[in-house]
Amino acid sequence: MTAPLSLQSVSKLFGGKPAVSDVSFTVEPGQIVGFLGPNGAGKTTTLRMALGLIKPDSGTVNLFGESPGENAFGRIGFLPEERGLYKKQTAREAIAHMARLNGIQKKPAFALADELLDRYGLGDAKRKKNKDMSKGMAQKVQLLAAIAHDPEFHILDEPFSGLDPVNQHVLEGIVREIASRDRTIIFSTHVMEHAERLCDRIILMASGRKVFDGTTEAALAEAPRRVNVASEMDGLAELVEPFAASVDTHPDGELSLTLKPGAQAHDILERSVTQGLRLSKYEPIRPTLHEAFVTLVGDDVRQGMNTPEGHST
Amino acid sequence: MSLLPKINLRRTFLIARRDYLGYVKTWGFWISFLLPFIFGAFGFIMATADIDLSPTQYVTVLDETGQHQDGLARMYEEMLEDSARSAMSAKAFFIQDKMKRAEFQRVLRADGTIAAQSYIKENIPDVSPNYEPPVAEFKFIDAPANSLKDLLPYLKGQSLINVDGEEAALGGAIIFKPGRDPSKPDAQYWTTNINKVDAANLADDYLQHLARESYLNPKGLTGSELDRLEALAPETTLYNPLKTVADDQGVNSSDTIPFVVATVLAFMLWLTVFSGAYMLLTSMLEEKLNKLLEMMLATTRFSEIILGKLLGVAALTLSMMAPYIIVGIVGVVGYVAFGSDQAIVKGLISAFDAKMIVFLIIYLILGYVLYGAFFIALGSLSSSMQDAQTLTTPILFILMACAAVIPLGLSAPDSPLLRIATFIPFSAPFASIVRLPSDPPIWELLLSTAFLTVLCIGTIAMAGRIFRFGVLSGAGAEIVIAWFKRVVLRRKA
Repeated sequence: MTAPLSLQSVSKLFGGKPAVSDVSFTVEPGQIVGFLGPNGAGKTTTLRMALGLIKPDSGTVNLFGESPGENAFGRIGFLPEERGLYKKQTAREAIAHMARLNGIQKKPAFALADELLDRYGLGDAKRKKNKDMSKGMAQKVQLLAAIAHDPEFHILDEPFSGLDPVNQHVLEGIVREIASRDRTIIFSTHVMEHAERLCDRIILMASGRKVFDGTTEAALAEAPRRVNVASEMDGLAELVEPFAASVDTHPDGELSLTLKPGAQAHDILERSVTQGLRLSKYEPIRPTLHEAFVTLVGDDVRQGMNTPEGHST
Repeated sequence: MSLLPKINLRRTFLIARRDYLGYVKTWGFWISFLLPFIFGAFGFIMATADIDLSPTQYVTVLDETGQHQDGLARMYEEMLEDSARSAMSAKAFFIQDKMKRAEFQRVLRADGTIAAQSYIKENIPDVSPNYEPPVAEFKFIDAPANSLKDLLPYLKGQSLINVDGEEAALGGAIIFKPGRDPSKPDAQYWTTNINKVDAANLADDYLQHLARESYLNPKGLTGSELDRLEALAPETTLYNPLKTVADDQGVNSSDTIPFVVATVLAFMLWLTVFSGAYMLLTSMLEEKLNKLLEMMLATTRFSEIILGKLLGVAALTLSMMAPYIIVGIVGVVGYVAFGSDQAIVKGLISAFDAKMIVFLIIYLILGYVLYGAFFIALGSLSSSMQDAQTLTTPILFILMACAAVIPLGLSAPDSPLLRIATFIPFSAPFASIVRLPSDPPIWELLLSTAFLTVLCIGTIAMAGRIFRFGVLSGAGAEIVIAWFKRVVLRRKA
């Protein structure tokens, strides 16, 4: 089966400055791929090149095995980072319009719009004009407009941005529902929790370069492992010292350790048993994707955070 | 490889349809669409209700000399009769027979408007004898008081005069007082309506007439005799050597109507192009601000969006112009079928010949596409209405300059400026249309069309690139300024 998207050594300069440098990856059918990175990492530019909206300066992009274009029309559902709707259209008109542009006939398009609005709790807003809807509702309508034609491949650029936690949860549900139909999804985000919960695979971008590409577990393995330990007996600091890259001592004597590469949390447990040092607290901390992200991109994160919100490259 | 971009007609239609309906569903569209009908209905109501928008002013004369009141009233009657003759003389324009035209003018001058109407009824059945007589700006009435002091309450509106059993306000009073010379009385005009001074102007004319008579009379001459002799002077007859002898080489309305029609059509063309292009700009800006283009581009080609917008707004512009177009067509066809003045009928038929219709359609399409593509490009570079206004100002100046060329079609159709404008693509649609009645060489029209077509293709290609860049960059006017500084002025950012 042809991969929905494949990028080979793709680069793009804007005003002489590299926005994307030598990026390669392939999105396989049925995958949910999280496309992560700080602002200015090159996520939006990469997705735009993937869709053929802008041409790469070098490298090749294949969408369904061909250069982006007519072949992919109707097979892709694209939700751009910058969102909006025709203000005077109603919700059902907005969804039906996009569905019709994607090849669905008029009557089925409106039927589909009604069904989707009912299914995702917007049944009462069917005939409401977009200008009269809340931001969250409008964003949901636009997402439904992007996916109404049930495309094979969904490209969602920052779909969670601007949504409140309730709507973020609803959107996660929509993504899961799409994935359950064996559709392929790539979505960009800098909210790690969503990626952690939803993705099979993660691609990390920083300063226009791909810095990681692998499963969520592999990404988590990159994160520093930490463990919190405490003991009412003396000698805890000496006991953990061979395994710790860094130690933070709390006022109550509890130690927060960042483990050295190769060291395991249970090594501390084994040594405490061997040395007869009773632990009053032993708490391995589950690594987060955010920590993995910070480890992988390092300074770029801080640079990215300084980029004004909404400016994407 | 095809030079033309691939187009999916269904998607193009859907984009055009949305743009069209997006505007048609607004109040603004229906107000614009119904405006001519609303004005027409208003005009009809005003006409049938016989509401006088400019009521006749009543003026009285206090002549302390006892010598001028009758002369002033007589002069006013003569002026009204002259105005009526002037209005009536326009009928000569529609009389094709040279001999009858000359006789009509002689009768009018010698015997007045009623005799001239009778002459038309009896001798020229094709021409309507009816005419719109000039409206009297004011009427003289007898003075309601014998002194200025007693007149003041009437002039101030505190007292009313009685005219034919109805009360009315006194609009003004002309007062003649003895001067040092009987032919030079002191004249005053009293009124509270200081902007309406027709009566004062009449008094001035009367005083000039007195001065003229006082100069001529001692020499045994009279002003009226001089006027009569002047009126009997022969008039120049207009001939066009390009007309065939059998056709009567004299020039009449059938020869001049095509020029008038071409000028009107060029103005309509300009208005259509201007309003269409401007709507494209706002449509493009709306699209950009709505931020839907990027989503659409995942499923639609750039070329389909541009073409869809051009078609949608073209349909919209034509819909908005439809009332005027329909009224125009019905008016022309109605007059050709039922009109009484055959000269006008002949002029209209010759104005709307095949060449005019073909070139009007060609220039309408090319002119709209040229300016439309520019406005699409500039709209896609704008991020606000202020941006759009800044960026479109140069193009608006060009459009205004083109509008200034159009009247030359009437006043100087052989003007070198008009000929040059034919070859400048921006002004070609308008200049060519107004030149058509002068029968310009066909190669000039074809060359002008070719230039315009080439620029249209170039503009669409450029607009496509700017559109692609503008849509995805979130650019505003500042990006154009930055480009200008970087590329043209070679300044570092």
